[in-house]
Amino acid sequence: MLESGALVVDSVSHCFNHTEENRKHPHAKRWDDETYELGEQLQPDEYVHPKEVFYRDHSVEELERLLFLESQVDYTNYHSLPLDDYFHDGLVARDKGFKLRERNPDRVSMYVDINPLEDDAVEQVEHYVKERDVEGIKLYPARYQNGQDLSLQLNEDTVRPVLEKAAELDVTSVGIHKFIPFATAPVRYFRMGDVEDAANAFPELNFEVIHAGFSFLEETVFAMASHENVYANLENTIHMAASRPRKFAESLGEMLYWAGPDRIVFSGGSTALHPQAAIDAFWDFEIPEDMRAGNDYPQVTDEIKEKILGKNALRLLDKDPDQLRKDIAGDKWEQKREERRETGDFPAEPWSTYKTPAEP
Amino acid sequence: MRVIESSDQDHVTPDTEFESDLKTDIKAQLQEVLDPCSCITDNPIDLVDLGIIDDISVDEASGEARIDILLTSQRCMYVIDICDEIKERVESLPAIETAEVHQVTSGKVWTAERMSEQQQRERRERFRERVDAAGITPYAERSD
Repeated sequence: MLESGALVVDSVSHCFNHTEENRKHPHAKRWDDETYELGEQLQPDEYVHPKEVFYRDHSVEELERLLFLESQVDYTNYHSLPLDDYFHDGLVARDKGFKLRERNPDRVSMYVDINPLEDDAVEQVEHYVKERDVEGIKLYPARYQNGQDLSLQLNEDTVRPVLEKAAELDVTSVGIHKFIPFATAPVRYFRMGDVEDAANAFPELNFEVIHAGFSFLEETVFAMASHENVYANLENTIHMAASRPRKFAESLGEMLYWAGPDRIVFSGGSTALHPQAAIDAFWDFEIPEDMRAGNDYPQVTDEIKEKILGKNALRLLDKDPDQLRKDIAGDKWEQKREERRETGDFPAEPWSTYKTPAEP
Repeated sequence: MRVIESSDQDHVTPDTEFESDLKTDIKAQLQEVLDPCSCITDNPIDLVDLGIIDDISVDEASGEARIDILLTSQRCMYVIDICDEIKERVESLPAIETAEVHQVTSGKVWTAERMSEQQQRERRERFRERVDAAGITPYAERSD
């Protein structure tokens, strides 16, 4: 919660497994290492993981302490990842997300990963929406299978049945990884054309484009400006407020100018990045005057920041802020936060709630 | 963390002038190398216009050239193709014996500000045309 009392909603958290045993594909180590390096590049030094913290199978207990004791995040949306072509458990396992939600039912929503190439992908959507009450589904734009990178764009025949089922079941949102290419998948898979097509074809679904503002900015703001159901999810991007302020200013300024402040959502990027690093940097962020004047970018007011840090995500998830406040008032995390506030230890020091070495 | 306030402007641009004729010839060769990603769009752009070329150095006596490149992304998967074409084109100059390509990994980051002014302007115009054609009014300029 911000000092103003506004709720902080984290639109993507993950419980990563960066252990050697989890690597399945020759590029998996590189993936792990580049994720670590991204944190080094994007975050102030005090927020960079000690390596013994990063390279582990992060536990649900560690993630919840990271979110609720080391940061001002009040509510999180866990995304599992379908990367079992590279990692044995997909890199971010589903079961950890369900466990996190089970332990914190008032503070967690869940987007479940779906691989449209699996024979029962449509049945999986039905199962997870009806039986496990997930709010959204998480897709990736490519798969590596039988030695080839396969495209899984949202406008392709393989993906369409998944979207049709999601629309039929009134799924809130479809999260789609974009903008940061990985491994050997061609760059074109990470562009926005397919999102526009899907947003047209499924006006009842919302599409959250993850890592918006990292690249292909013009395509992104065009899609947002022309489709009310396209949202920018700032996972990783928002950390640039600290480390790449002018690049971030351009990304945010363009989104605000073309599409307005209501469809941009904050993500802390746990456990790959530290959520409080982004919250601090964003709350202090201003678009430099020369960039505002030259491009008609609006001032990033506290009102806009509160929308991006929480209000927009709550609206997207159809959660009533007042009800959420009541639900979490006095819960175990609020009690622990209060105890720490009394000793000046909230938010706790970065990664201080992790045990090293990792517990078996 | 190194804070990148703005792009370092000490890279090679279309306007960069060298005292060395050989460096000028190398730059001309590099202007023939197209960025592979841009080639999948309708607007191919060469490496100099894109701001990829960070530095050109050459030992005129031995004919050894070195080209420093700053990729738009450290995860660029076309780096091998880009390096091969740079090497091939620069070594095609009679005064060059060998050309080496080095990736800048100092933490410097490519941003769109490294693109040539003309390319930035053209890109902006293309975007405006697309937006106008779609009948989109920017949120900031809407009256309702």
